[in-house]
Amino acid sequence: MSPFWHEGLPVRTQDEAEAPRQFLWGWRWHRVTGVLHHWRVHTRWWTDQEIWRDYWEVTTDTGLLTTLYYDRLLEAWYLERVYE
Amino acid sequence: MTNTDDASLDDVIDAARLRYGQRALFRGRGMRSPAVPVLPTGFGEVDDLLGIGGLPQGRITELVGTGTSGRGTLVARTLALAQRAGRQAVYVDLARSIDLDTLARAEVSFDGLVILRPLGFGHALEMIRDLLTEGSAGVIVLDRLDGRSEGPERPDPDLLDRALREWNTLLSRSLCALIVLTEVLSPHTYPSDYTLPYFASVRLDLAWQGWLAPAGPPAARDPLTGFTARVTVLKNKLWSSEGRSLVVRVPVLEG
Amino acid sequence: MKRVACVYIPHFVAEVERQRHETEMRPLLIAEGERVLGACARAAGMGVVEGEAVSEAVAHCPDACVIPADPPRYAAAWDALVEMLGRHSPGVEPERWGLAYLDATGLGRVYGDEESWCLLVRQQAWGEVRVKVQAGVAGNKFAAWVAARSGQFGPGYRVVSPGGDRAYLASFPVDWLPLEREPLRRLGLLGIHTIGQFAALSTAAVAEQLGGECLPAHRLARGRDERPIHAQPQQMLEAYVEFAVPEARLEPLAAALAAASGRLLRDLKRGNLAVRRVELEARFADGEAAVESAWVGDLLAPHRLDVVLRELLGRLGGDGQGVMEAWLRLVGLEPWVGRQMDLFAHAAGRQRMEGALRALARKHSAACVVRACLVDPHTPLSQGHRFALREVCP
Repeated sequence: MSPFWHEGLPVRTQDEAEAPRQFLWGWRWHRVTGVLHHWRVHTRWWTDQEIWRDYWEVTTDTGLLTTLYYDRLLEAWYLERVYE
Repeated sequence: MTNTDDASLDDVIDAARLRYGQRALFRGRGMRSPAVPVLPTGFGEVDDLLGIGGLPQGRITELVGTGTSGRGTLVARTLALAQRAGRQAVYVDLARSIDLDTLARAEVSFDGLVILRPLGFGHALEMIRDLLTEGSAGVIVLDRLDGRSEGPERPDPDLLDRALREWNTLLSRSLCALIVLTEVLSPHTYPSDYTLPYFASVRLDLAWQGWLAPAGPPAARDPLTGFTARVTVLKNKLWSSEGRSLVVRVPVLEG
Repeated sequence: MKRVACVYIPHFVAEVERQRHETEMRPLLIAEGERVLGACARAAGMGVVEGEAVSEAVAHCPDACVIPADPPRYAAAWDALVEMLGRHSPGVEPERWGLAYLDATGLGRVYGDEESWCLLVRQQAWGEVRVKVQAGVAGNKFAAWVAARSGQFGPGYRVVSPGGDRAYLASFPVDWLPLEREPLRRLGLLGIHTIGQFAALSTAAVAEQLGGECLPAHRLARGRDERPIHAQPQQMLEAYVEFAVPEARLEPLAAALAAASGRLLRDLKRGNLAVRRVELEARFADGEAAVESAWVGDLLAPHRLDVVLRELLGRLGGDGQGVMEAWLRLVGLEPWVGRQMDLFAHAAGRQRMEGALRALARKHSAACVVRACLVDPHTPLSQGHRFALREVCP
């Protein structure tokens, strides 16, 4: 089954650039080779569960199709899904 | 031959191989098992590759791989088809990473899908044993075993071995298909102390091959329609297709 | 009791344009030709008035970013918002871009309470149309609009308790009432600055001092606004029953209506259609007519319709007069995309599995045995967030 992390899986990225270039997941580093989609979500601002994220759907040199997001409130990168 | 007799012969063959090596004993080429009840995978070419029309019921199937391999799509389609055939589907979400969207796009019925969320590996084994004992599940997916040689999530091999022996006995009396996903970088890095390869009747390796881009002018098309994956039969006790492989097309975002 | 909701977006055109210009930090002015079609809240705060000349607006707000209007875009956004509101109310009256009234009677029951309804509407408006709406619920249109308008100073919504409209309105500035400049000036001279103070004047005094044309505003100030909701026409099925002898008893009335609605329910089932609202109109022996309606928002099975009919008949009353004619209307039909049709042919296996699940939940913990449910089909987050896991045997 395609892994999907509802709360996001924290990942290390190579640098703190705006767009993801490399991230560490599983056993190895995955270098981003293509950005398919990029979008921003800013929602639930009317509650105390505000969500403000930049999403990236990317392919990698290791053959992953994955969704990452940068949480602008927590200032951290998360892996949301690996398409299988 | 009945299912039980067939299973006994398999055990003899496997025991001999375990003791004397892979080439010690093998079924004659061209001999075909009596019709085995199967669950079609939704990939016709994979069903043909297996030679028996799908994943065997009353047996364990292991899907080996990692990342964007097509395993998730194959499992989702198998579950949807099983449900349409009236089988009760159970998903054991050991990894706590179930992707409901992929299941929904494959038209899995959520009304009919039970999701078990065990508290750990041992708990998962117990729940599966209880389900198999009770007997009403038609297909159980265990997602997933961590096949890394190190790491805190690595299942205890002895615990796994004991569970597999129990499950095999229970499965042989039922028509439940147990599908186990094992996360490994490649079949070559498969942990040597796991006995799942011995107990599984079918083992498939799925690995990403390449991306599929649509034809047409760049401005009009989406960047990706899917990917190709190579499906290799690592083991098949029920039909002589070991070592055979083919490439399937896996659509993205369309189930 | 009648309840009315108001959904208000004070600077609707600018809100829609903000989606395209979200990184623009300057105030926004939207120009249609030489005139200002819309201005953002900041520009309005600097004195820009919609309809004035762009040159004058720029003089008020020299730093403004002026962009050309795109009316089809605003119309599409408004239509989408109205369509969304229609899913959460039996009747929607879009008055103009950025202002809609809704029939809120009974919504509290369906959504838990009226606050929850407001929260949901705000959330869905943002999720689907990307506009921040203010919502108000009260006993009439004017009070609901004031509640919605005041929502900007807080959580974005306000619910006025039933019967509390006049008290709620009292502290608001009198210029929130639909009064011309001259009467407002005169009220100012008289030291009347709030709606409450204006409401306290006698009707005679208002007529004498300000003119008869201010009496409607005076009634509004007193919490009286009889304007009905003119809901948009919706798809509807209707059944008609006539009684040769006026029927005042509940049972024969309910039975006759249920029989007449049999065909309607079969049509609904065949089309897998859900019903928003059930409306019952009756004409009595004395010639009087009455209408009652109830919010359903679901598939309508015969037993459910029976319950709704009895409730409506009870509300109709009739003062002992028998019913001569009755019209049963099923209003607001839409395809039902909730449940999946499955496994009816395998009920026995399903039942057995349910038993196994109960045993598993008892042995291992209820939280370990779950099913997926669609909870938020319009979430702006990834599609996986449409669903939540719910215990099978809580």
